Amino acid sequence: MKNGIQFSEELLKLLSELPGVDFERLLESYNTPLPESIRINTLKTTPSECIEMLEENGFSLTKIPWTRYGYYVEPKDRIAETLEHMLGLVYMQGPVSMLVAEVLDVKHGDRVLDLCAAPGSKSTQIGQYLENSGALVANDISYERIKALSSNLQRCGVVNVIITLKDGRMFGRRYPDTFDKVLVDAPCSSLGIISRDWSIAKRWRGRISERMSRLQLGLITSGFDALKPGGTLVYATCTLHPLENEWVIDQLLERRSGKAKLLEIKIEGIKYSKPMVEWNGDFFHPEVSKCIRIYPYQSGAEGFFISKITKTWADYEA
Amino acid sequence: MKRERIDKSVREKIEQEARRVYGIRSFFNDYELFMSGEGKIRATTRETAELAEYLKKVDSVGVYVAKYRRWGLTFSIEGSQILDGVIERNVIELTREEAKRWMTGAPVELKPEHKIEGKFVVAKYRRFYLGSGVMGRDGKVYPLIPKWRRIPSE
Repeated sequence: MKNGIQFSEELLKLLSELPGVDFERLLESYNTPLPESIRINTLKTTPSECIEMLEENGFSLTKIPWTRYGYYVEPKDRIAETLEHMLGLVYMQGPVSMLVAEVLDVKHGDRVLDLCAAPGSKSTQIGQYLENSGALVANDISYERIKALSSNLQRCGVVNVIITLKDGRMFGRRYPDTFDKVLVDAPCSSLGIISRDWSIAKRWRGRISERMSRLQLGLITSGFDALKPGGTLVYATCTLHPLENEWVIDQLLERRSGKAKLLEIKIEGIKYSKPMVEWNGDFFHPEVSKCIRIYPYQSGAEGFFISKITKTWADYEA
Repeated sequence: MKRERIDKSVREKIEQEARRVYGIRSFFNDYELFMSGEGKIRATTRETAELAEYLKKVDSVGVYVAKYRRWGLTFSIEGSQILDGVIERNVIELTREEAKRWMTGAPVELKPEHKIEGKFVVAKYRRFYLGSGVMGRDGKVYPLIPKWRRIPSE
């Protein structure tokens, strides 16, 4: 027990052994409630108009420096029941979660695939950046989660969307070289968001991350195959285990050797760390060093791992 | 989800109804329209519709914009927002308190300045449309807000 959170012994051991992690600050950050934040949906309103409406009704907003339309909002626990939320003028989303779609760098007219889209935070954000140009395919494997995805895309007014209910691991085979941008916001063991749900710390076992990493590798490989040459894929998780992060990227580089290339991630306004270079004595591919890790004590919010990958024209120029 | 492209003759019929009831002259002209069961109309862009054809089995396309039944044509919140600037009749302007009430699904009173013809209206708060409502015999307007979209009443 650490300040109220029950950690499995395995997890405490893992966290204390992660190189480059400030263990004490990490445990402290898990005890700190996440800030409440919103993204202003410019498909329906403008930041100035929306801020004025919210301020008139007693809210105070502070800009999140690393994302275009993100704001911390106070008081907490009230925004979900406002007119602005129900009309789709704002979307409640974690501050670091917003960074993932920023890194994807969607351009007008792009064809985008969000492989694990539910409940739709990043899909609605991508839809916002596309401004109803191009097309967005929002996929998820769970029928239950698709309902929330569909409601959120409707509420945000994303017209250029196709919702699919498929196993993300089949996209690459069925639709190769189809998308300009692919987001693989993979299901994970969620060690970066323990402050949102303390039960994660109690439930976590090493085998969960091992099982997740196999699924994640299947998803990223499929997403990569569905990417057009010259396109960009962002792989992100909200966990800290290297098996679900650096290892997955390392394995993709091996599986798609010569085709997959890591890109540098340039962001401002947030502290972040370098990725791990080895785990359990196995060294990762040197390209993996271009990924980034954001710990909860750096963001004051969620912890994330983010990587950006492009598909080279290697095979296509031959 | 069932999805059928709306053919020209049906689209013309719906457009006539939109013109008659709401004075709309330009009915989702930039969008492809699909009927998706229970009279629900979904709208998307041409490029998205083409990609959906290529992907084949898809769950849904675009957003739900309107419902067309024998008894009339009504708009969802997003449908009425897309039609911003072209709805000329049967619009009622609400205060913030009334708009919040509308979004709880509760009826709102008509005011003398509201000039309504027929059974259906579209509500508006500031510049934001809030979808359709139906006139009740008691002179109140009953909003057609789906349950998942309602603000919980206090």
